[in-house]
Amino acid sequence: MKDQSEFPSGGIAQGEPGEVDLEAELKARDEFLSAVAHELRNPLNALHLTLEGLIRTQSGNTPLAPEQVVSRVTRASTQVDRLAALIDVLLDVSRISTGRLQLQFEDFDAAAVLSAVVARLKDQASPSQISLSMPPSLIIQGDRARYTQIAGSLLSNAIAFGNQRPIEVRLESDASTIRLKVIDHGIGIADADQQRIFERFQKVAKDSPTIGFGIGLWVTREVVRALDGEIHLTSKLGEGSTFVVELPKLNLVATTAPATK
Amino acid sequence: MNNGRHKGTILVVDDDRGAMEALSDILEYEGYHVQRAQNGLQALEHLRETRPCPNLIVLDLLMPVMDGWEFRMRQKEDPELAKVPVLVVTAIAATAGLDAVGVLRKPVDVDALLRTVARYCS
Repeated sequence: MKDQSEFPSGGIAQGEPGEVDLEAELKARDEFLSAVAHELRNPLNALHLTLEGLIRTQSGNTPLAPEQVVSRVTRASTQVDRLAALIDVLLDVSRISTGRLQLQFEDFDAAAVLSAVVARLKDQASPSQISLSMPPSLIIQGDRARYTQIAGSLLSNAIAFGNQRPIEVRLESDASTIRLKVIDHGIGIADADQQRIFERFQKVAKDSPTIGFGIGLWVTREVVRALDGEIHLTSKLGEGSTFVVELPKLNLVATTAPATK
Repeated sequence: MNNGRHKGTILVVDDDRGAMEALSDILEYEGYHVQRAQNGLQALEHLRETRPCPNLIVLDLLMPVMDGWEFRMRQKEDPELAKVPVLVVTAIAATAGLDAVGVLRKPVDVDALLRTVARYCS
């Protein structure tokens, strides 16, 4: 089954119109653009270096064997994927801000999708850093791409701020709900910052002030809300964080509010 | 690796795995021995445990756990480690106070990088 819907989201303003701090919003937006430039340069740099390396080896006296070339080109392709994913996030910010986040519902195996996300991101973590606990199969109805996005965002966050300590990923379900838990034992988030971290353009990790756009968790929360789900955070500074996402097993189009823009 | 016949040893400090692999490939192809660290803390631990020290450190700035600024501060506190020159490779413009032998913006100019590497490995 496949269907499509649009979800109206909260828009730009936080709180009452009179409470919006325009100066702070503009400053945050400037910092966001700076962070975007930085984040795009990283995969661009890796792609550039990979191609430069290939040019040098293949035009030198000892060119690589064909299988080594394939390996290098595959790495270059991974960087192109990273760039595309970053651009998708930027587009999501625009879609969410204008209330036009698109959803596509279908039946899929949430366990298989989660397993693929963990396998993809394991390369970015230390060896054996990620443990995965889930049923062999869990068929649900929802948006496969958005589910992948949510899992990827939370796991990337755990890797970035997990201090290279073990990360647990759990997928559980009951009759009507699936529950994704991502538990890290990293830098944690202070009580005062735990709500702010879900707001747009906010980065609270003092250790890495400009890593990330500062929008990842805001986008994730908005996507979870669009899927009629909830996201919860429990965290202690210096001890780590647990993000829990609860999503309905059956994401019927009729349960999603029509676009009102 | 060239079984000790390499031109010199470079410690690359970068949390971006793709960039680390690609830069290591280029340096190794050019005949250098490459050591790797994913953040400033790993780099410090490596430097304290390994002798001889590398000829040059190629340092990213924005990394989790310990960033490049804190790494430089800690490195300078140790007289022996402070002697190892640092080439900064970064996506951001604010690099004042790092006291590096060079700063290269990402995407990296490979010829400029290799010129600096050769200068400190000769």
